[in-house]
Amino acid sequence: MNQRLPCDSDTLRAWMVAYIGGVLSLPEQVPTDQTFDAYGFDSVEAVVMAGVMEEEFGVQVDPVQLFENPSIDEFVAAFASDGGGNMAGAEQRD
Amino acid sequence: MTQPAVSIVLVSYNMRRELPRTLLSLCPPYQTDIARADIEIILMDNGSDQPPTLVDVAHLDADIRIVQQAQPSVSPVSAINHGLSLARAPLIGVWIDGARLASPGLIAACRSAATLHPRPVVATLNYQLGPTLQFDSVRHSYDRHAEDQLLDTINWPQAGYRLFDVATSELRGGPEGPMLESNALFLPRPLWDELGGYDPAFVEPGGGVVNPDTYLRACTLPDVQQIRIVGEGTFHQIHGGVSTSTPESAMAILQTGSRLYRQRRGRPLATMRDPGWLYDAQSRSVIQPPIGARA
Repeated sequence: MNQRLPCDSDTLRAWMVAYIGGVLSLPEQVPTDQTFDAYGFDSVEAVVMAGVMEEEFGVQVDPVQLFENPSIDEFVAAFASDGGGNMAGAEQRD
Repeated sequence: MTQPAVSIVLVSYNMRRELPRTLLSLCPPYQTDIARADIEIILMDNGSDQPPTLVDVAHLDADIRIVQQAQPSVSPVSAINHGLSLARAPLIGVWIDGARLASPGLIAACRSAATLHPRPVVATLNYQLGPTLQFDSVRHSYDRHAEDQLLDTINWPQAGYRLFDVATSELRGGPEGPMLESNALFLPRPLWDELGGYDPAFVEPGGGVVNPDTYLRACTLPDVQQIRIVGEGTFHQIHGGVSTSTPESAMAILQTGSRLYRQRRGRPLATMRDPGWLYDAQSRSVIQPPIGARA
């Protein structure tokens, strides 16, 4: 996973908020600055989300990066196409 | 031939070390509060190099039928569905991983819990032997030998419930927490038929996420009641299975499974967050009211 995802920060953030909100049935907006653990999104669910991300965006997503960037904001900064974080990203699948 | 009360469909593949313990754990007298005539075990061998034989199980006082799957596959689905077709009891538990030990009251608890609702989906909780989940403990010298010693230290099988003392729950959130799957899922025969058994589309090694898929589909059948068994469990022995070997393999199986699930079902794989009823095996009662009845 050494390239960014082919979507901008707003798109990726909105996708993650919708996905996690749907999984957790949260009555309010998912707090993007809090860690996944803080609102009960567990590691199994994070790995599952990585698989769904691959389907959605057509790229390889290393689930470890969800543990090393354990909030929506951190992950978006690291992996959105216009993110400002340290280089991480995703690799285009053939 | 009298009809058993409970059938167990158990799948094994190259588990010569683990399977004898598993079978012992499913039979009286280790299994308590249930008579020999009440249990039928259908052991589906899915292409082992050295398949188990009746001689191997002759010392067990139980109705054990060994079936060699005619066309074994890397996926256990066909073997499970064949086993389901052979099961004679009104309540059938599928034991997808033959390397899992039962705690002593598990079958009686499932049988009892299943009487509490006309359409029960009885889910048992998964544990793994060892100090942490096995994909992690194998990095810290936990292996078959260490596990054998661990079982000796708790005097297993004489002290069956001490399995809880040396195991790690797969449910980080406890019995009420999000749950992805149950190794031993008990449904009445009509519900298995309604469900259509396990989905043959899951052809990947180990069936991929076919077990979570089956659990989720069962829990979303109309008018069913999920009942999770508390105080009993299944305990995974290390055997080099696809999902417990290394962190990388565990994540890869789940991630790939998630992707394929999305393709097949058109929706993301999800954990079951509604715990349903929690049935306490010790008190033989529901310790948590139905979700719909909560304030």
